[in-house]
Amino acid sequence: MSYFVSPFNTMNQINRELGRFFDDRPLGHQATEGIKWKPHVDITEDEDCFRVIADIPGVKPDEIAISLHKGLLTVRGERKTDEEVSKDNFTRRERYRGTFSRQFNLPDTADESTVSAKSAHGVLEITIPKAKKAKPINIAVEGE
Amino acid sequence: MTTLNKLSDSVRESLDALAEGWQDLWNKARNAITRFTPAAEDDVAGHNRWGLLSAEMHESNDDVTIEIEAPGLRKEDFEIFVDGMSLVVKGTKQSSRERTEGHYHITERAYGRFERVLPLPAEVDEEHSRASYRNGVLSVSLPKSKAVSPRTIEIN
Repeated sequence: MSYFVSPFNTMNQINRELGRFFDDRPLGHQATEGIKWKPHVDITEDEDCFRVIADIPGVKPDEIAISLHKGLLTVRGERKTDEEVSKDNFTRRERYRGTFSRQFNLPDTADESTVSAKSAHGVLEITIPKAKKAKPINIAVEGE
Repeated sequence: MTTLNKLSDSVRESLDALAEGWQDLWNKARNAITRFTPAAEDDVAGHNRWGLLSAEMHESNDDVTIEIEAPGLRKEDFEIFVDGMSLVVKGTKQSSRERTEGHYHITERAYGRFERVLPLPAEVDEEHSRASYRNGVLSVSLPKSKAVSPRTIEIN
């Protein structure tokens, strides 16, 4: 690991961060509503399964739709505007409202029939078990 | 004016509108970018050091409410206090535990310690503040100090 910190590197990271978040550059868009955004995800793999972990704050679990079709996993939903809060009197507004979606191609080794998902504290976790035949098998070497 | 000039003018106008809108969005979101400092054991190379911690502040006659998107924490991972005319929110986002055995294919989420300081629009009464954490969104409600609440003065 490098300990050399470049200011350009930091700038690039920040730029990338924002670029990744907004799906479409809104044309002449001034508002924070009706925007298409993309949740940040981690994808991990261990011996038994793949996991997709997505940060989706401010969206209720039952308002997230997950579908799986021909190896394509789709996560979509919408962060809605709170009706009870008046639109005036905001002294700061950084949260974006609108629809989000992300798609992932599952590898052949995924067992699509047993995919499960759970959500807690604004984090969605999708577990995709590996098909049995895809798991590494240790073969013992027999001696004489 | 030739047709070509008109055309190039309208192209420039729409490009300006696009740039302006994008700039505006960018400016709003830029403030939400927060540095995350991971704990040594979570310090995976290539992990993100910057995350979006989007905040919203709303002011009414009686109180100031703040919402911050901070998914993946527990209630006890937050430290919230008022310092003068600012609200300070500190927290630690833990990377999820026994996952160390596997490996990462994509890492976009940021982990670790973070701190955001939000300037308040009015003096607040910290003692009567309330906070809740739901669906990864932290909500803090701060009543304004009585002295500064605008009061209607009746004319006799």
